[in-house]
Amino acid sequence: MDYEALMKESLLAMPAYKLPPQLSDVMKKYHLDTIEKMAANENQYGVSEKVVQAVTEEMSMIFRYPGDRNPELFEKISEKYQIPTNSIVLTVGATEAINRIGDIFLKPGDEVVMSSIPYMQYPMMVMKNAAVSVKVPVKEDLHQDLDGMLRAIGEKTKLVMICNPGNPTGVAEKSADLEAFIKAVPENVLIMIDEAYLDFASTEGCTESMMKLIPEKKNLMVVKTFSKIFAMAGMRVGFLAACPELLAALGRGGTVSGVSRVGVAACIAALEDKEHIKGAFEFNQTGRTYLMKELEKAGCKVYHSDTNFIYFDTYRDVMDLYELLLQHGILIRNFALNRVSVGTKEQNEKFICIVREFMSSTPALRAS
Amino acid sequence: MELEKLISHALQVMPPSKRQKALSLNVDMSKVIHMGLNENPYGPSPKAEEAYSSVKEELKYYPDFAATKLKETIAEFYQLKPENVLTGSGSSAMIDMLGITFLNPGDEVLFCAPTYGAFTDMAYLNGAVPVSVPVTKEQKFDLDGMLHAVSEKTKMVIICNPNNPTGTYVSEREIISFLEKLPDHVVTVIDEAYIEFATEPDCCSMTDYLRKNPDVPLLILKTFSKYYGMAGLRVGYALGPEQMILAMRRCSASWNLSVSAQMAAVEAIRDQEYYQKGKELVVAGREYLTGELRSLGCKVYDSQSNFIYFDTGKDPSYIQEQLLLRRIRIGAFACSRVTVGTMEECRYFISQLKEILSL
Repeated sequence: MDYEALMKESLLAMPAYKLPPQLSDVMKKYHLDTIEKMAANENQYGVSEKVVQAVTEEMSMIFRYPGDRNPELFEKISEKYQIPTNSIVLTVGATEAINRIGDIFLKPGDEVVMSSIPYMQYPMMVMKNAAVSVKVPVKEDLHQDLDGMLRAIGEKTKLVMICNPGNPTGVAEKSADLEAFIKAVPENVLIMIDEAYLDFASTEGCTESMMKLIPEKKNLMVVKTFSKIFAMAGMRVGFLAACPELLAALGRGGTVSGVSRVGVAACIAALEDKEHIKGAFEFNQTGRTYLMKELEKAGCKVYHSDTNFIYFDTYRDVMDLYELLLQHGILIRNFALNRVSVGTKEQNEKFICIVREFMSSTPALRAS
Repeated sequence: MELEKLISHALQVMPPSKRQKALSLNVDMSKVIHMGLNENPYGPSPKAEEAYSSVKEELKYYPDFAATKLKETIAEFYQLKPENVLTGSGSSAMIDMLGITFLNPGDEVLFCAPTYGAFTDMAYLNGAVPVSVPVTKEQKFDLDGMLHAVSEKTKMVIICNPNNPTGTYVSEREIISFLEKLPDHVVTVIDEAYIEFATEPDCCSMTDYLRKNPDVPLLILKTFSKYYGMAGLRVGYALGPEQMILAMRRCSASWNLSVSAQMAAVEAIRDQEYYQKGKELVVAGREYLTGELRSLGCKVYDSQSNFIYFDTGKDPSYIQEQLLLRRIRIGAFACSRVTVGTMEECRYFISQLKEILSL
């Protein structure tokens, strides 16, 4: 049987998703009993007790399809992010939102403009639709070149994708710059702003959500997730905000939502517990400030983070630090540089200790 | 902005979905008895519920994207390999992945009508062409008719067994004989969402066939929404040859299943004893409804699922509306469709329908 002959032609260029290695395999390889996960930008502050309670209560209704409590969740989201309730659609994490945009809007040959250091799912999604990624080089300090992206928009451009603050860079753009950018993009080009990490941002002038532009910008989509400040990565809930006409287009086909009713109940509880959200923000702020300061002191180049992770340059081989950390039971993530997620106080301190040892015992490969 | 210009061509020409829509009567839906969506009122195994509530510490972490344990458990249950299993957030996600992976613009997707509406939408979304053959007079999938409709352009054939919304089935022997006459370029999809409720000995899953014929382009769709009583958790899966499952893993929906859903589904599969008892209750309700509806003079099609397709002689939308005013939600297609509820719900439904029909 020739299975490739059965597949969609545009999909053949795309490899199957490479999933991260199983933790159990990593632990076996490095002879570890426990592992500190500082790799996937999960929120170690955890969920609110109210979320736990809501989840337990909702279990009694699990034989019923989801949907009946969605209006309640839309109210809460609307209140927190100041958008109309009819401008929200729930998605299975931000992942479903990103992929749905591609499935609905992209055709083979369409161009998608993005930063040269994009969130890794963007180019995958583009490839899946046989569209073309146009990557605009980042500027100094890994800022996204918004003017360059505007210039890169051509006749074939269908979509611009911006992750703000960026992942894996952690760098936030000025809200005013982003707003000007959105207004300058021609209206026949769609804009997706991914604000997965914006709730952690604290740099002055960089904290405003672009959701406020949705009523006036009909080509704007903002993607959010409950995986980060709400600490529910395991629940797989996100949402996409856009004008109702755009949401109607995205909803064509009438697929039953993959968001579980327990997820909906959990998100309602999470949004209600404002104290907990504040606690999570402060927890992250403390950990991030500590990590940035200590990494710099240890001799690393640190890119200014407005997220719950830090992208940093040791001027040494990324794999060498990665391996050394794993030998001590800490898992981080490598891109062109190393990226570490903010952990608990203990995890952060243990991590910094090992980085210090690494920086003093390993010669630099490049000049700082 | 001209939104229509931004939308892919396939979507521009797609007619509106014919799936069931929300009713807009002024009825407090929280007080309604739900017999419209083929949910299982007996709910999941207590072990599945427990597994779920024990995951609160895990919520902050991403799930095992590969759903390793769930795939192993499912594979073991059907005596297949984990590589034969694909999981996703409900059958909807599985059907989306089918379309994304296998359909080119212009391909034909062949099925009988009426059947589950998601397959028509899947075809349109991918620029493919839905081709439907009417069901037989007994509301069964017309496999001979489908064979005649197979053309060079046919890429996928769908058999929903037992069929939704009709509840009828085609036998294992009929399906195998159909499969063996299909050309190699056709992917066969058997949607077995309801098959665990079947009691006829020849109404069986194609998993045995798949195990014995690992090189046939056959995909079997399954769900935890019906028999396993967890529609609210959104877990579905597909079984098929390794290479086809690998092909579908190019879709992001194949690695996006919540940690809690994974854990609950594992425990559900392991607690077959619990579900056997639930099945007995559903089958008893099905027999009760079939008998009572016939006594009311309705034409009832024999069901192997947890719902019943029946003709009252009146407009199904009228019946649906009248029942909703009496706090019962059922489905309306070419005929009416009622889900088997608890025995109490079934009795109430029959009493109300009786009144409506005598109006």
